[in-house]
Amino acid sequence: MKTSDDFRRDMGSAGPAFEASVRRTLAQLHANEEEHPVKKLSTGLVIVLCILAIITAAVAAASQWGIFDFLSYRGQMNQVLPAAQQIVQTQVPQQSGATVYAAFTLREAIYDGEKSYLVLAATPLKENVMLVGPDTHPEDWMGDLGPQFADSELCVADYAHQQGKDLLVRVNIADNAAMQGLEGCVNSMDCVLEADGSLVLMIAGNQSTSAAELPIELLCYTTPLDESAAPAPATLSFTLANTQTTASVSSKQSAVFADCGVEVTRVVLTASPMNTYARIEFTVTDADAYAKTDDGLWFEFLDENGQRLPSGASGEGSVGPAGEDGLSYVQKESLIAMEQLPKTVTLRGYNCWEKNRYETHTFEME
Amino acid sequence: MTSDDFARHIIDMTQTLYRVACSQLSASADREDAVQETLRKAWEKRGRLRDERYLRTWVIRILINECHNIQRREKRVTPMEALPPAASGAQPPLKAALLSLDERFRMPILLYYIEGYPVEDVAAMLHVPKGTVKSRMARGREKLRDILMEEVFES
Repeated sequence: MKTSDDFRRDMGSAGPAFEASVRRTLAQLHANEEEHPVKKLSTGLVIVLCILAIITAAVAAASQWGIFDFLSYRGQMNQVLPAAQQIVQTQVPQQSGATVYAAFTLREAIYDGEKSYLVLAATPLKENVMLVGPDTHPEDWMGDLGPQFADSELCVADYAHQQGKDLLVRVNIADNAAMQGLEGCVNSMDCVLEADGSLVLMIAGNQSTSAAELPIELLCYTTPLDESAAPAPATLSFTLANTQTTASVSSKQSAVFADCGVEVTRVVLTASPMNTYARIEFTVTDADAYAKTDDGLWFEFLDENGQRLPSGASGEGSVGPAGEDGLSYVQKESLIAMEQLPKTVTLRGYNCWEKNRYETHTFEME
Repeated sequence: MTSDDFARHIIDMTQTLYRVACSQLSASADREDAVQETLRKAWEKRGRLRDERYLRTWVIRILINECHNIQRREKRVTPMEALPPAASGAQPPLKAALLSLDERFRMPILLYYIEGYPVEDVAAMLHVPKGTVKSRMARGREKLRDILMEEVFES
Protein backbone atom coordinates (compact mmCIF):
# COMPACT_ATOMS: atom_id res chain seq x y z
CA MET A 1 0.00 0.00 0.00
CA LYS A 2 1.44 3.32 -1.10
CA THR A 3 0.32 6.13 1.16
CA SER A 4 0.00 9.89 0.78
CA ASP A 5 3.31 10.28 2.64
CA ASP A 6 5.05 8.02 0.12
CA PHE A 7 3.79 10.13 -2.77
CA ARG A 8 4.63 13.40 -0.99
CA ARG A 9 8.17 12.16 -0.41
CA ASP A 10 8.60 11.16 -4.04
CA MET A 11 7.17 14.43 -5.32
CA GLY A 12 10.10 16.17 -3.63
CA SER A 13 10.02 19.55 -1.98
CA ALA A 14 10.58 23.11 -3.05
CA GLY A 15 14.31 23.77 -3.06
CA PRO A 16 16.07 26.96 -2.00
CA ALA A 17 15.79 28.48 -5.50
CA PHE A 18 12.02 28.01 -5.61
CA GLU A 19 11.58 29.35 -2.07
CA ALA A 20 13.79 32.32 -2.85
CA SER A 21 11.73 33.04 -5.97
CA VAL A 22 8.52 33.09 -3.89
CA ARG A 23 10.02 35.36 -1.25
CA ARG A 24 11.49 37.70 -3.88
CA THR A 25 8.12 37.99 -5.62
CA LEU A 26 6.38 38.77 -2.34
CA ALA A 27 9.00 41.39 -1.51
CA GLN A 28 8.54 43.01 -4.92
CA LEU A 29 4.76 43.12 -4.51
CA HIS A 30 5.19 44.69 -1.10
CA ALA A 31 7.69 47.25 -2.41
CA ASN A 32 5.51 48.14 -5.41
CA GLU A 33 2.57 48.79 -3.13
CA GLU A 34 4.57 51.22 -1.03
CA GLU A 35 6.48 53.06 -3.72
CA HIS A 36 4.18 53.32 -6.79
CA PRO A 37 7.19 54.21 -8.98
CA VAL A 38 6.70 56.53 -11.95
CA LYS A 39 8.51 55.47 -15.10
CA LYS A 40 9.84 58.04 -17.51
CA LEU A 41 8.73 57.34 -21.06
CA SER A 42 10.08 58.79 -24.28
CA THR A 43 7.67 60.94 -26.32
CA GLY A 44 7.70 58.39 -29.15
CA LEU A 45 6.82 55.57 -26.81
CA VAL A 46 4.04 57.62 -25.23
CA ILE A 47 2.52 58.24 -28.67
CA VAL A 48 2.68 54.55 -29.55
CA LEU A 49 1.16 53.60 -26.21
CA CYS A 50 -1.61 56.15 -26.65
CA ILE A 51 -2.43 54.75 -30.10
CA LEU A 52 -2.46 51.24 -28.70
CA ALA A 53 -4.64 52.35 -25.80
CA ILE A 54 -7.13 53.92 -28.22
CA ILE A 55 -7.20 50.75 -30.33
CA THR A 56 -7.59 48.59 -27.25
CA ALA A 57 -10.38 50.76 -25.84
CA ALA A 58 -12.14 50.72 -29.20
CA VAL A 59 -12.09 46.95 -29.48
CA ALA A 60 -12.99 46.51 -25.83
CA ALA A 61 -16.10 48.58 -26.43
CA ALA A 62 -17.11 46.46 -29.41
CA SER A 63 -20.04 44.14 -28.84
CA GLN A 64 -18.77 41.65 -31.40
CA TRP A 65 -15.34 40.11 -31.18
CA GLY A 66 -12.82 40.75 -33.94
CA ILE A 67 -9.16 39.99 -34.56
CA PHE A 68 -7.88 42.70 -32.21
CA ASP A 69 -10.21 41.62 -29.41
CA PHE A 70 -8.61 38.19 -29.56
CA LEU A 71 -5.12 39.70 -29.62
CA SER A 72 -5.99 41.90 -26.63
CA TYR A 73 -7.36 38.86 -24.80
CA ARG A 74 -4.06 37.09 -25.40
CA GLY A 75 -2.13 40.20 -24.28
CA GLN A 76 -0.62 40.57 -27.77
CA MET A 77 -1.81 44.00 -28.87
CA ASN A 78 1.64 45.46 -28.19
CA GLN A 79 3.12 42.96 -30.66
CA VAL A 80 1.39 44.39 -33.73
CA LEU A 81 1.71 47.85 -35.30
CA PRO A 82 -1.16 50.36 -35.37
CA ALA A 83 -1.04 49.97 -39.18
CA ALA A 84 -2.46 46.47 -38.69
CA GLN A 85 -5.87 48.18 -38.29
CA GLN A 86 -5.65 49.23 -41.93
CA ILE A 87 -5.23 45.75 -43.38
CA VAL A 88 -8.28 44.18 -41.74
CA GLN A 89 -10.72 42.92 -44.35
CA THR A 90 -14.37 43.19 -43.35
CA GLN A 91 -17.50 42.46 -45.36
CA VAL A 92 -15.56 39.89 -47.40
CA PRO A 93 -17.77 38.45 -50.18
CA GLN A 94 -18.47 34.88 -49.13
CA GLN A 95 -20.55 31.83 -49.74
CA SER A 96 -21.71 31.03 -46.25
CA GLY A 97 -23.12 27.74 -45.11
CA ALA A 98 -25.02 26.05 -42.30
CA THR A 99 -25.39 22.67 -40.67
CA VAL A 100 -28.54 21.58 -38.86
CA TYR A 101 -27.16 23.19 -35.68
CA ALA A 102 -25.36 26.39 -36.71
CA ALA A 103 -24.78 28.91 -39.48
CA PHE A 104 -21.24 30.07 -40.25
CA THR A 105 -20.04 33.44 -41.55
CA LEU A 106 -16.64 35.10 -41.93
CA ARG A 107 -16.65 38.25 -39.83
CA GLU A 108 -13.19 39.67 -40.64
CA ALA A 109 -9.76 38.60 -41.81
CA ILE A 110 -6.14 39.62 -42.31
CA TYR A 111 -3.80 38.08 -44.85
CA ASP A 112 -0.31 39.55 -45.31
CA GLY A 113 1.20 36.97 -47.65
CA GLU A 114 2.62 34.88 -44.79
CA LYS A 115 -0.11 34.32 -42.23
CA SER A 116 -3.88 34.48 -42.26
CA TYR A 117 -6.09 35.46 -39.33
CA LEU A 118 -9.79 34.67 -39.73
CA VAL A 119 -12.64 35.50 -37.35
CA LEU A 120 -15.71 33.32 -37.91
CA ALA A 121 -19.09 33.49 -36.20
CA ALA A 122 -21.08 30.30 -35.61
CA THR A 123 -24.69 31.15 -34.78
CA PRO A 124 -26.92 28.46 -33.27
CA LEU A 125 -29.99 27.63 -35.34
CA LYS A 126 -31.95 25.89 -32.57
CA GLU A 127 -33.18 27.38 -29.32
CA ASN A 128 -31.91 24.48 -27.21
CA VAL A 129 -28.35 24.46 -28.63
CA MET A 130 -25.30 25.86 -26.86
CA LEU A 131 -22.15 25.90 -29.01
CA VAL A 132 -18.74 25.09 -27.48
CA GLY A 133 -15.18 25.14 -28.84
CA PRO A 134 -13.31 22.42 -30.70
CA ASP A 135 -11.32 20.92 -27.79
CA THR A 136 -12.38 17.33 -27.19
CA HIS A 137 -11.10 17.26 -23.58
CA PRO A 138 -10.76 20.86 -22.40
CA GLU A 139 -9.19 21.37 -18.99
CA ASP A 140 -11.39 24.37 -18.30
CA TRP A 141 -14.69 24.25 -20.21
CA MET A 142 -15.95 27.59 -18.99
CA GLY A 143 -12.62 29.44 -19.12
CA ASP A 144 -12.24 28.31 -22.74
CA LEU A 145 -15.41 30.19 -23.66
CA GLY A 146 -13.82 33.58 -23.07
CA PRO A 147 -12.70 36.00 -20.38
CA GLN A 148 -16.22 36.68 -19.11
CA PHE A 149 -16.32 33.07 -17.90
CA ALA A 150 -12.82 32.92 -16.42
CA ASP A 151 -14.04 33.23 -12.83
CA SER A 152 -17.28 31.31 -13.33
CA GLU A 153 -18.19 28.95 -10.52
CA LEU A 154 -20.47 26.95 -12.83
CA CYS A 155 -19.56 23.91 -14.86
CA VAL A 156 -20.54 24.10 -18.51
CA ALA A 157 -23.57 21.82 -18.12
CA ASP A 158 -24.92 23.96 -15.28
CA TYR A 159 -24.35 27.12 -17.30
CA ALA A 160 -26.16 25.64 -20.32
CA HIS A 161 -29.05 24.60 -18.07
CA GLN A 162 -29.19 28.11 -16.61
CA GLN A 163 -29.48 29.49 -20.17
CA GLY A 164 -32.28 27.07 -21.04
CA LYS A 165 -30.08 24.93 -23.31
CA ASP A 166 -30.06 21.16 -23.20
CA LEU A 167 -27.86 20.28 -26.18
CA LEU A 168 -24.14 21.06 -26.17
CA VAL A 169 -22.70 21.07 -29.69
CA ARG A 170 -18.98 21.14 -30.43
CA VAL A 171 -17.83 23.33 -33.33
CA ASN A 172 -14.74 22.49 -35.34
CA ILE A 173 -13.26 23.97 -38.50
CA ALA A 174 -11.02 22.35 -41.10
CA ASP A 175 -9.42 23.75 -44.20
CA ASN A 176 -10.57 21.81 -47.24
CA ALA A 177 -7.21 22.41 -48.95
CA ALA A 178 -5.33 20.88 -46.01
CA MET A 179 -7.60 17.85 -46.13
CA GLN A 180 -6.50 17.40 -49.73
CA GLY A 181 -2.83 17.49 -48.73
CA LEU A 182 -2.20 21.18 -49.50
CA GLU A 183 -1.02 23.91 -47.12
CA GLY A 184 -3.90 24.85 -44.85
CA CYS A 185 -4.96 27.95 -42.94
CA VAL A 186 -6.02 26.26 -39.67
CA ASN A 187 -3.03 26.11 -37.32
CA SER A 188 -4.58 27.39 -34.13
CA MET A 189 -8.04 28.27 -32.92
CA ASP A 190 -9.34 30.44 -30.10
CA CYS A 191 -12.98 30.96 -29.32
CA VAL A 192 -15.35 33.02 -27.22
CA LEU A 193 -19.06 32.74 -26.56
CA GLU A 194 -20.83 36.04 -27.20
CA ALA A 195 -23.89 37.23 -25.31
CA ASP A 196 -26.31 36.21 -28.10
CA GLY A 197 -25.03 32.63 -28.05
CA SER A 198 -22.79 32.95 -31.11
CA LEU A 199 -19.49 31.11 -30.81
CA VAL A 200 -16.79 33.27 -32.39
CA LEU A 201 -13.55 31.64 -33.47
CA MET A 202 -10.23 33.17 -34.46
CA ILE A 203 -8.25 30.87 -36.71
CA ALA A 204 -4.62 31.56 -37.53
CA GLY A 205 -2.61 29.77 -40.17
CA ASN A 206 0.48 29.84 -42.35
CA GLN A 207 -0.11 30.46 -46.04
CA SER A 208 3.04 31.78 -47.70
CA THR A 209 2.44 33.10 -51.21
CA SER A 210 3.00 36.21 -53.28
CA ALA A 211 -0.24 35.74 -55.23
CA ALA A 212 -2.59 38.73 -55.08
CA GLU A 213 -5.47 36.67 -53.70
CA LEU A 214 -5.91 33.65 -51.48
CA PRO A 215 -9.04 31.52 -52.00
CA ILE A 216 -10.10 29.59 -48.89
CA GLU A 217 -12.73 26.91 -48.43
CA LEU A 218 -13.48 25.89 -44.85
CA LEU A 219 -15.42 22.86 -43.68
CA CYS A 220 -17.46 23.69 -40.57
CA TYR A 221 -18.41 20.76 -38.34
CA THR A 222 -20.99 20.66 -35.56
CA THR A 223 -21.15 17.58 -33.35
CA PRO A 224 -23.45 17.09 -30.34
CA LEU A 225 -21.29 16.15 -27.33
CA ASP A 226 -23.17 12.94 -26.72
CA GLU A 227 -22.76 11.72 -30.30
CA SER A 228 -19.59 10.61 -32.03
CA ALA A 229 -20.69 11.29 -35.62
CA ALA A 230 -21.07 14.82 -36.95
CA PRO A 231 -23.75 15.68 -39.50
CA ALA A 232 -22.49 16.82 -42.91
CA PRO A 233 -20.26 19.88 -42.52
CA ALA A 234 -21.16 23.30 -43.86
CA THR A 235 -18.86 24.85 -46.45
CA LEU A 236 -17.74 28.45 -46.08
CA SER A 237 -15.87 29.89 -49.09
CA PHE A 238 -14.27 33.29 -49.63
CA THR A 239 -11.23 34.93 -51.20
CA LEU A 240 -8.86 37.18 -49.25
CA ALA A 241 -6.75 39.96 -50.72
CA ASN A 242 -3.02 39.61 -50.06
CA THR A 243 -1.96 42.91 -48.48
CA GLN A 244 1.67 41.73 -48.82
CA THR A 245 4.65 42.10 -46.50
CA THR A 246 6.25 45.53 -46.54
CA ALA A 247 10.06 45.05 -46.48
CA SER A 248 12.74 42.39 -46.19
CA VAL A 249 16.42 42.25 -45.19
CA SER A 250 18.98 39.41 -45.43
CA SER A 251 22.25 38.74 -43.64
CA LYS A 252 25.46 39.70 -45.44
CA GLN A 253 27.57 36.92 -43.95
CA SER A 254 27.41 33.51 -42.29
CA ALA A 255 28.63 32.52 -38.82
CA VAL A 256 29.78 29.27 -37.22
CA PHE A 257 28.27 28.33 -33.86
CA ALA A 258 31.02 25.89 -32.92
CA ASP A 259 29.60 24.77 -29.56
CA CYS A 260 26.43 23.46 -31.15
CA GLY A 261 28.07 22.31 -34.38
CA VAL A 262 26.27 24.41 -37.00
CA GLU A 263 26.89 27.27 -39.39
CA VAL A 264 24.11 29.81 -39.85
CA THR A 265 24.25 30.54 -43.56
CA ARG A 266 21.42 33.04 -43.92
CA VAL A 267 19.06 35.11 -41.79
CA VAL A 268 16.05 36.80 -43.41
CA LEU A 269 13.60 39.19 -41.74
CA THR A 270 10.37 40.18 -43.46
CA ALA A 271 8.12 42.94 -42.13
CA SER A 272 4.35 43.14 -41.86
CA PRO A 273 2.13 45.18 -39.52
CA MET A 274 1.19 41.89 -37.83
CA ASN A 275 4.59 40.21 -37.36
CA THR A 276 8.23 40.31 -38.30
CA TYR A 277 8.78 36.97 -40.00
CA ALA A 278 12.20 35.45 -39.37
CA ARG A 279 13.88 32.67 -41.30
CA ILE A 280 17.22 31.20 -40.21
CA GLU A 281 18.96 28.72 -42.47
CA PHE A 282 21.69 26.60 -40.90
CA THR A 283 23.87 23.61 -41.78
CA VAL A 284 25.42 21.01 -39.51
CA THR A 285 29.22 21.33 -39.61
CA ASP A 286 30.13 19.17 -36.58
CA ALA A 287 27.83 16.13 -36.34
CA ASP A 288 28.99 15.16 -32.82
CA ALA A 289 28.46 18.61 -31.35
CA TYR A 290 25.07 18.90 -33.06
CA ALA A 291 24.00 15.43 -31.85
CA LYS A 292 24.58 16.60 -28.26
CA THR A 293 21.83 19.22 -28.73
CA ASP A 294 19.35 16.31 -29.13
CA ASP A 295 17.58 18.28 -31.90
CA GLY A 296 16.81 20.94 -29.30
CA LEU A 297 18.75 23.73 -31.00
CA TRP A 298 16.82 26.96 -31.35
CA PHE A 299 18.11 30.44 -32.14
CA GLU A 300 16.99 33.40 -30.08
CA PHE A 301 16.99 36.94 -31.45
CA LEU A 302 18.56 39.40 -29.00
CA ASP A 303 18.22 43.17 -28.83
CA GLU A 304 21.11 45.55 -28.26
CA ASN A 305 20.88 44.93 -24.51
CA GLY A 306 21.12 41.17 -24.89
CA GLN A 307 17.44 40.67 -24.09
CA ARG A 308 15.38 38.22 -26.10
CA LEU A 309 13.15 39.94 -28.67
CA PRO A 310 9.47 39.28 -27.97
CA SER A 311 7.55 36.82 -30.13
CA GLY A 312 5.06 38.06 -32.69
CA ALA A 313 1.29 37.89 -32.56
CA SER A 314 1.22 34.47 -34.16
CA GLY A 315 3.50 33.28 -31.35
CA GLU A 316 4.68 30.19 -33.14
CA GLY A 317 7.82 28.80 -34.67
CA SER A 318 9.36 25.61 -35.93
CA VAL A 319 12.65 24.03 -36.95
CA GLY A 320 12.72 21.47 -39.72
CA PRO A 321 14.91 19.92 -42.39
CA ALA A 322 15.55 22.14 -45.40
CA GLY A 323 16.40 19.29 -47.73
CA GLU A 324 17.08 15.60 -47.83
CA ASP A 325 20.80 15.79 -46.99
CA GLY A 326 20.09 15.52 -43.25
CA LEU A 327 22.42 18.47 -42.64
CA SER A 328 20.42 21.53 -43.69
CA TYR A 329 17.73 23.01 -41.46
CA VAL A 330 15.54 26.07 -41.36
CA GLN A 331 14.02 27.80 -38.35
CA LYS A 332 10.91 29.89 -38.96
CA GLU A 333 9.30 32.08 -36.35
CA SER A 334 7.52 35.36 -35.93
CA LEU A 335 8.86 38.25 -33.89
CA ILE A 336 7.20 41.41 -32.65
CA ALA A 337 6.19 43.68 -35.57
CA MET A 338 8.72 46.45 -36.26
CA GLU A 339 8.32 49.85 -37.92
CA GLN A 340 11.82 49.46 -39.38
CA LEU A 341 13.81 46.31 -39.84
CA PRO A 342 17.18 46.33 -38.04
CA LYS A 343 20.57 46.83 -39.70
CA THR A 344 22.08 44.13 -37.47
CA VAL A 345 20.62 41.11 -35.69
CA THR A 346 22.18 39.07 -32.91
CA LEU A 347 21.47 35.36 -32.64
CA ARG A 348 22.14 33.17 -29.62
CA GLY A 349 21.99 29.39 -29.78
CA TYR A 350 19.63 27.91 -27.18
CA ASN A 351 18.67 24.39 -26.23
CA CYS A 352 14.92 24.17 -25.77
CA TRP A 353 15.16 20.90 -23.78
CA GLU A 354 17.97 21.68 -21.36
CA LYS A 355 17.48 25.47 -21.54
CA ASN A 356 21.23 26.09 -21.66
CA ARG A 357 22.62 28.72 -24.00
CA TYR A 358 25.30 28.52 -26.67
CA GLU A 359 27.42 31.22 -28.26
CA THR A 360 26.22 34.49 -29.77
CA HIS A 361 26.91 36.06 -33.19
CA THR A 362 25.87 39.34 -34.76
CA PHE A 363 24.89 39.61 -38.43
CA GLU A 364 24.82 42.70 -40.62
CA MET A 365 21.60 42.92 -42.62
CA GLU A 366 20.91 44.57 -45.98
CA MET B 1 -5.80 41.67 4.05
CA THR B 2 -2.42 43.25 4.74
CA SER B 3 0.63 42.41 2.68
CA ASP B 4 2.11 40.71 5.77
CA ASP B 5 -0.95 38.45 6.10
CA PHE B 6 -0.85 37.65 2.40
CA ALA B 7 2.88 36.86 2.55
CA ARG B 8 2.42 34.64 5.62
CA HIS B 9 -0.26 32.54 3.91
CA ILE B 10 1.81 32.20 0.76
CA ILE B 11 4.98 31.21 2.62
CA ASP B 12 2.96 28.58 4.50
CA MET B 13 1.77 27.06 1.23
CA THR B 14 5.09 27.18 -0.64
CA GLN B 15 5.41 23.37 -0.73
CA THR B 16 1.88 23.00 -2.09
CA LEU B 17 2.54 25.61 -4.77
CA TYR B 18 5.68 23.73 -5.70
CA ARG B 19 3.96 20.35 -5.97
CA VAL B 20 1.02 21.71 -7.97
CA ALA B 21 3.38 23.49 -10.39
CA CYS B 22 5.55 20.36 -10.56
CA SER B 23 2.58 18.23 -11.52
CA GLN B 24 1.82 20.52 -14.46
CA LEU B 25 5.14 21.87 -15.73
CA SER B 26 8.41 20.02 -16.26
CA ALA B 27 10.83 22.97 -16.49
CA SER B 28 11.82 24.66 -13.24
CA ALA B 29 11.94 28.07 -14.96
CA ASP B 30 8.33 27.61 -16.11
CA ARG B 31 7.26 26.58 -12.59
CA GLU B 32 8.81 29.70 -11.09
CA ASP B 33 7.21 31.86 -13.80
CA ALA B 34 3.81 30.32 -13.10
CA VAL B 35 4.07 30.89 -9.36
CA GLN B 36 5.35 34.46 -9.76
CA GLU B 37 2.48 35.33 -12.08
CA THR B 38 0.02 33.62 -9.73
CA LEU B 39 1.22 35.66 -6.77
CA ARG B 40 1.07 38.87 -8.77
CA LYS B 41 -2.53 38.19 -9.88
CA ALA B 42 -3.62 37.04 -6.45
CA TRP B 43 -2.10 40.16 -4.87
CA GLU B 44 -3.74 42.49 -7.37
CA LYS B 45 -7.17 40.88 -7.03
CA ARG B 46 -7.06 40.13 -3.32
CA GLY B 47 -9.81 42.70 -2.72
CA ARG B 48 -12.23 40.41 -4.57
CA LEU B 49 -11.69 37.64 -2.05
CA ARG B 50 -14.58 37.95 0.40
CA ASP B 51 -13.27 35.52 2.96
CA GLU B 52 -9.61 35.10 3.86
CA ARG B 53 -10.25 31.42 4.63
CA TYR B 54 -10.56 30.72 0.92
CA LEU B 55 -7.22 32.31 0.01
CA ARG B 56 -5.41 29.00 -0.42
CA THR B 57 -8.12 27.43 -2.58
CA TRP B 58 -8.24 30.59 -4.67
CA VAL B 59 -4.47 30.83 -5.13
CA ILE B 60 -4.23 27.20 -6.23
CA ARG B 61 -6.99 27.75 -8.77
CA ILE B 62 -5.10 30.74 -10.19
CA LEU B 63 -1.90 28.67 -10.28
CA ILE B 64 -3.58 25.86 -12.24
CA ASN B 65 -4.82 28.43 -14.77
CA GLU B 66 -1.33 29.94 -15.03
CA CYS B 67 0.15 26.50 -15.66
CA HIS B 68 -2.40 26.03 -18.45
CA ASN B 69 -1.41 29.39 -19.92
CA ILE B 70 2.23 28.35 -20.00
CA GLN B 71 1.35 24.96 -21.50
CA ARG B 72 -0.66 26.69 -24.22
CA ARG B 73 2.21 29.11 -24.91
CA GLU B 74 4.75 26.29 -25.04
CA LYS B 75 2.55 24.45 -27.49
CA ARG B 76 2.63 27.48 -29.74
CA VAL B 77 6.42 27.81 -29.78
CA THR B 78 7.46 24.16 -29.61
CA PRO B 79 6.73 21.93 -32.57
CA MET B 80 4.98 18.98 -30.95
CA GLU B 81 6.44 16.42 -33.34
CA ALA B 82 9.93 17.45 -32.19
CA LEU B 83 9.33 16.68 -28.53
CA PRO B 84 11.85 14.14 -27.21
CA PRO B 85 10.67 10.76 -25.96
CA ALA B 86 9.88 10.65 -22.25
CA ALA B 87 12.93 9.86 -20.16
CA SER B 88 12.73 6.42 -18.63
CA GLY B 89 13.58 5.85 -15.00
CA ALA B 90 14.53 9.50 -14.53
CA GLN B 91 11.92 10.12 -11.84
CA PRO B 92 11.02 8.26 -8.68
CA PRO B 93 8.35 5.68 -9.57
CA LEU B 94 5.48 7.17 -7.56
CA LYS B 95 5.97 10.63 -8.98
CA ALA B 96 6.38 9.22 -12.49
CA ALA B 97 3.22 7.16 -12.06
CA LEU B 98 1.25 10.18 -10.88
CA LEU B 99 2.56 12.38 -13.67
CA SER B 100 1.67 9.75 -16.25
CA LEU B 101 -2.03 10.15 -15.44
CA ASP B 102 -4.22 12.40 -17.52
CA GLU B 103 -4.65 15.75 -15.75
CA ARG B 104 -8.34 15.02 -15.13
CA PHE B 105 -7.30 12.25 -12.76
CA ARG B 106 -3.93 13.59 -11.60
CA MET B 107 -5.10 16.88 -10.14
CA PRO B 108 -7.93 15.55 -7.93
CA ILE B 109 -5.56 12.91 -6.53
CA LEU B 110 -2.79 15.43 -5.90
CA LEU B 111 -5.05 17.96 -4.24
CA TYR B 112 -7.08 15.51 -2.15
CA TYR B 113 -4.69 12.74 -1.18
CA ILE B 114 -1.34 14.51 -1.26
CA GLU B 115 -2.24 18.09 -0.34
CA GLY B 116 -5.13 17.11 1.92
CA TYR B 117 -7.84 19.46 0.66
CA PRO B 118 -11.48 18.40 1.15
CA VAL B 119 -13.51 17.36 -1.88
CA GLU B 120 -15.47 20.64 -1.80
CA ASP B 121 -12.28 22.66 -2.13
CA VAL B 122 -10.89 20.43 -4.85
CA ALA B 123 -14.15 20.84 -6.79
CA ALA B 124 -13.87 24.62 -6.47
CA MET B 125 -10.23 24.61 -7.57
CA LEU B 126 -10.93 22.46 -10.61
CA HIS B 127 -14.30 24.01 -11.56
CA VAL B 128 -16.07 20.67 -11.57
CA PRO B 129 -18.91 19.25 -9.42
CA LYS B 130 -18.03 17.28 -6.27
CA GLY B 131 -19.34 14.05 -7.81
CA THR B 132 -16.94 14.49 -10.71
CA VAL B 133 -14.02 14.94 -8.31
CA LYS B 134 -14.96 11.72 -6.53
CA SER B 135 -15.38 9.69 -9.71
CA ARG B 136 -12.12 11.00 -11.13
CA MET B 137 -10.29 10.15 -7.91
CA ALA B 138 -11.68 6.64 -8.03
CA ARG B 139 -10.61 6.17 -11.64
CA GLY B 140 -7.23 7.77 -10.95
CA ARG B 141 -6.63 5.38 -8.07
CA GLU B 142 -7.49 2.45 -10.27
CA LYS B 143 -5.04 3.63 -12.90
CA LEU B 144 -2.30 4.16 -10.29
CA ARG B 145 -2.96 0.70 -8.89
CA ASP B 146 -2.60 -0.76 -12.38
CA ILE B 147 0.66 1.12 -12.99
CA LEU B 148 2.24 0.42 -9.61
CA MET B 149 0.70 -3.04 -9.23
CA GLU B 150 -0.31 -2.39 -5.64
CA GLU B 151 -3.01 -0.53 -3.74
CA VAL B 152 -2.64 3.22 -3.25
CA PHE B 153 -3.98 5.49 -0.51
CA GLU B 154 -6.04 4.16 2.34
CA SER B 155 -9.77 4.59 1.72
